[in-house]
Amino acid sequence: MRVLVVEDEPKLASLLSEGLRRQGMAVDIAGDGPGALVAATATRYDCIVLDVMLPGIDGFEVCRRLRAQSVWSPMLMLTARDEIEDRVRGLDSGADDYLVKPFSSEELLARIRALVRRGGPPRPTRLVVGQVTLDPASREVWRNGEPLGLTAREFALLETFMRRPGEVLSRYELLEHVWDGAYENRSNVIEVYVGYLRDKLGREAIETVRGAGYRLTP
Amino acid sequence: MSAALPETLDRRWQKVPFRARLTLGFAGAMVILFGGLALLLHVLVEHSLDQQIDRSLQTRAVDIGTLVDGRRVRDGLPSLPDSGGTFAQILEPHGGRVVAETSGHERPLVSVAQVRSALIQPRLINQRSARLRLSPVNTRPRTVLIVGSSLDQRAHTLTILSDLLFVGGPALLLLTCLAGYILAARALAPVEKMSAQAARISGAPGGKRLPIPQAHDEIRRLGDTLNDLLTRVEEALARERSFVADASHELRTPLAVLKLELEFALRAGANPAELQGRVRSAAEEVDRLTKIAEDLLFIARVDGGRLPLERHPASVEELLDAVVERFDTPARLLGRRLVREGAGTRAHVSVDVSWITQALGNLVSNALRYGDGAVNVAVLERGSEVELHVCDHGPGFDQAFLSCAFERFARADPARAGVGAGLGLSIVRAVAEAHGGSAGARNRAGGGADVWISLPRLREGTAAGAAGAAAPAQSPWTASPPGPRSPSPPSPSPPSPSPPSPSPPSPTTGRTVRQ
Repeated sequence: MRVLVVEDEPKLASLLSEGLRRQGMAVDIAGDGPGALVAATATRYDCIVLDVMLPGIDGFEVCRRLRAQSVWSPMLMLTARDEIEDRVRGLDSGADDYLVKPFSSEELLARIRALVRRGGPPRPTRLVVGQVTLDPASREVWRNGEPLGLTAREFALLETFMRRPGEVLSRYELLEHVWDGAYENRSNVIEVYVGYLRDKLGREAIETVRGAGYRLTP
Repeated sequence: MSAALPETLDRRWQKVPFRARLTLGFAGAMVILFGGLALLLHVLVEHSLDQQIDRSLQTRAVDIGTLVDGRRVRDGLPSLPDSGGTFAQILEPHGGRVVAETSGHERPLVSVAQVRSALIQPRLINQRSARLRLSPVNTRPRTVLIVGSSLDQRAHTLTILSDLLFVGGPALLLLTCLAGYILAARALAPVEKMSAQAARISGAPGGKRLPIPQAHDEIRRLGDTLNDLLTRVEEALARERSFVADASHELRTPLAVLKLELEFALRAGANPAELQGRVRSAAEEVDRLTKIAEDLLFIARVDGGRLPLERHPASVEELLDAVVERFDTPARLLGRRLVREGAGTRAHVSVDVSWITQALGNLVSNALRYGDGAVNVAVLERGSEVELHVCDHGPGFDQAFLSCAFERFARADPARAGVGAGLGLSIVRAVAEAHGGSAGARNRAGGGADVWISLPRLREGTAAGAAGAAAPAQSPWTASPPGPRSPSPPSPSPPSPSPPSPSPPSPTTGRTVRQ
């Protein structure tokens, strides 16, 4: 297992790598943002431990750029800031976990193990299907770069489609994901909302598969 | 009870929306004004109608008087002609017999007594529906002429007038109030919008601003002023936020190192050499934390105006000599030179010597650490100020850093993290400002950094006298570093004169200096 530690404080970096090596991991160290970008794009790490406060490019930006370059290695952020907005910012920029200094080496190792278990499938912070881009964090949708105004329900329905592009989703599945249990299955609410989405995205965006359900055209 | 009632009323009144209060106040004023005007108008019209009637009665009396002048009553008087709206009668003063009349007025209109009373001079009598004028006429014998006019027309006119005033007035008043309310509402609409928007403002950077109305009026000025205020508050919040972020980074990173070192040390199987290394490293981190904590506390104390200063007149010359002396050895060890410039100044300043030498020490150790070549220590006298300069021949400051050099946690080169917390120059400025002075930094034209402390200069007379008197007070810093005091100056601890650390400046000193 190979881990990249991005930390500008040399003592902390060497302590981290020492702790990880004892667990039999191979550890590389990057001292700043640009170094981290180079290292993480060149090697497929099983995990990246990233300090937020880095000289030059900060950790949030490093994370965003790596995700933008389709580096999906699990990422654990180390930070001195423990305010909620900082954590939210870290997770929304594409990090998978968040650890506040000072931390115990046991907890760090456990979190790294958990991240490695989950592996590194592509999990973009923004969903892109065809011409449509959806950002679950800022709750914005663009079509060909033009922002679209969607209601909360329309947004939820579109997000469900965009998480499984090209798959046929039955009416029941859509109801289950977007509406809560209080809704009657018999109502035509799905047809109505698919109609709304078609009005905003274009008629051909959502295809009706007779007898099966609907499909988002990729 | 009687006092409580107006109070509750007043409180209720305060709760009424401003628009409604404005309109109600306006309406009250309008009622008084309208009512007064209506009353005045009514009185004036009534008076004018009465005058008109009196004039027509008088004219008629004169006409008839001329007609019957000199006639004998016994011979019979001509019948009196009718004339628009008025009627007439001539009565004998004795017995009240009607001797002449307009048609339809054969019965005497007044009593005998009233007739007699009018024999001498004319008089006016108001009856229920008529106004009568009684006057003597020159018949033989004298008789009394009565001319009268019906008051129906007058009453009718007045009825119309009061109908107009009592119906039209309130209607007009209502319209005016409505207009007033609409105007007030429109004028206050921007205020409503502002307050709605203000409720949504969170204080986040780059946040919303109050909507500004088109018109260039008081409300727009208020909005502009409030928006400026919001900008300043946001900036202050942003500074505070970045300070907290920097402080947590500077404090928590050593804590993380400390925790890991101790955890690793506790692990079984560590040999004594490794244990020793870990404990030494932990101790270093504790020093680093202590240093930052002291510096932060010091700055907080100065910011709060609670820096205890023992100010004495001191010669600038001696101050600089002391600093040069202290840093001479460390400089030599680095292969650098301290150059004392502009000797012979007679300027004096009133300072707490230990604080000022600490601040100057920060500047010199910065120059030794980040500069290059000789370090020049110089005095510049500018009017009522004395500037103590420390210059080096290194690369100088980054332009971006110059603007925030004295901010807490300002780092000239972010890549050089872990070396210092960026509090050294903040302390220099805090000390200078506590003395009523200031601190400045610039790049020299020939290359190299120039940082200075500017202090208010003592006037010659006071300085000379006081300097002599205070001479003993100055001796501690020339002879030895200041003894333990509370609170002790946090940075930098002057390097000990005997064996200085081989890699000066000492780690403790280095942590607080500019970087």
